[in-house]
Amino acid sequence: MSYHLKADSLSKHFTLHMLEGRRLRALEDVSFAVEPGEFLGVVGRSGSGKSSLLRCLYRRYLPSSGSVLYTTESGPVDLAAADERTVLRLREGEIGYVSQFLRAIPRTLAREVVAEPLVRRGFSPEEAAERAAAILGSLGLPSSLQEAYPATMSGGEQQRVNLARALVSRPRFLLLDEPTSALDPETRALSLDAIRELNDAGTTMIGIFHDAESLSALADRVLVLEEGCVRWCGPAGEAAELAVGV
Amino acid sequence: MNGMVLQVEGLTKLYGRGCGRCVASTGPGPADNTCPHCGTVVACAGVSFEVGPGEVLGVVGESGSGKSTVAACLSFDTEPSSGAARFARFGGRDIFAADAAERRRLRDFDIGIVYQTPQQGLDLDVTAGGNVAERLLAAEWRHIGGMRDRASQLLSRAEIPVSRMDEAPRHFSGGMRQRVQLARALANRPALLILDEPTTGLDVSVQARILDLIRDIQRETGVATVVISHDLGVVRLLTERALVMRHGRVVEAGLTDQILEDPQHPYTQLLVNSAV
Repeated sequence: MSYHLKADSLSKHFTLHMLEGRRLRALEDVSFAVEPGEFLGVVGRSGSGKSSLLRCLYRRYLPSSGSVLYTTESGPVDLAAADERTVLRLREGEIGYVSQFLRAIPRTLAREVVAEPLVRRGFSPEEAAERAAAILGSLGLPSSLQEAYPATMSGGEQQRVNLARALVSRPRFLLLDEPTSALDPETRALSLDAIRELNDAGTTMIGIFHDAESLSALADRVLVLEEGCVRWCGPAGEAAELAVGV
Repeated sequence: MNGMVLQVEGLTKLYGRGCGRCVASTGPGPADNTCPHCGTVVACAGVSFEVGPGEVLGVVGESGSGKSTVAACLSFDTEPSSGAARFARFGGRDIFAADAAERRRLRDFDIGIVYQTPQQGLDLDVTAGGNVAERLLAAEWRHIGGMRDRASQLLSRAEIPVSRMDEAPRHFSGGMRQRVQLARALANRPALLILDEPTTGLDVSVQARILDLIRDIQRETGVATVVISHDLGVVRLLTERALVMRHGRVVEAGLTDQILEDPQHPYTQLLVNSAV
């Protein structure tokens, strides 16, 4: 099977030096693969390691052991061990990440926050702003808010800015950490549509969702985590009774 | 140089006569910078890093960690005891081996620096325009009108009203003085910009404005930049890679977001957990 990303025996432990070197186990021996264009849903109780897994894949966390092979056009790269420039280049060029909470760039308007990744890729500021406005509009953020500072927005509005910032550059690979948790049903549906559109266009995705509706709308397969270990991984349809509701 | 702008290797600075055991007897292990055998202060030792075109590297650590010594060595304000700093604009050669004339030239053309204290980087009694023009003169600009145009362009980019370019920075606020320093540092389009605690001691709102300006200018010019700061917020905002220093040594290096979210070294964990 060809894979876009393959995690092999991935583990993440934290050593808390300020607490007498206490060790916390976030992930243990996690292995799975995602095919190109596939959507893998990740479910599990709070504290089961879902966010830690995504952060390890994006290298916001440094994996303790194991590998994360990511297929680029010039061959596989082990994201767990790659040098910083390689990781930054992939983040800039093809791997997107939507965190649970927006870390707003201070004093920057929502539209500019979203346009920034495009400008960095060489788009003209005008075209970047146009695309940013279009994607924010499709997520239901009114233009009056697009010209406001995200720091002053509600959680749901910030979440859409965050999602738009990742979707706008149409990455090849996208990690989603509960990107719709603060949204009402109507805007959640808009967000899911936008995510699905990108997935249908070929972007491989790994996403954490707490609600069955989002999961069944998007996921091809589901990975169930329990206490940092893979409890089950299989087709989304079969996961319903296992996964949903946790 | 593998496309790098600057490659620093094994930068070491000792204050004192040295006894051959200084480096081994100091650092994070003994938790001290002072050699117990001869009293020499090891300001920094074995510091190595690279900066590529368009990159911004952060150097964080508390007072006395050696981070400003790194800046001082790179800007020729102090002489390193050992180590090398290969610089692309200098034909990939070690700038620490440069002679006096070459150093002057590097400072005039190729390396811009903004100091924490404006007195270090500016003549507070010379007009803001004059401070910038002084750099241009050093770079062999001779036409007064041209220099004045360039100075006013640089100062307005740094958000200093042109109407105030004939005033001395002594009459400016702390934030304005830092902006004049920035204009001066960028005057000759350096390949490397060193910012040593550029916003320390300023009010939060003034600090924010300067950080925004630095971010914008860095993006526009693509100048390779080293930001030295004890403030994790500054490093988070400006940099993608960072080094953490303590007792004169680099104790951790990596992606800035990883260092802040998953710090490995005990000192980095303390630093991240101490941030307000």
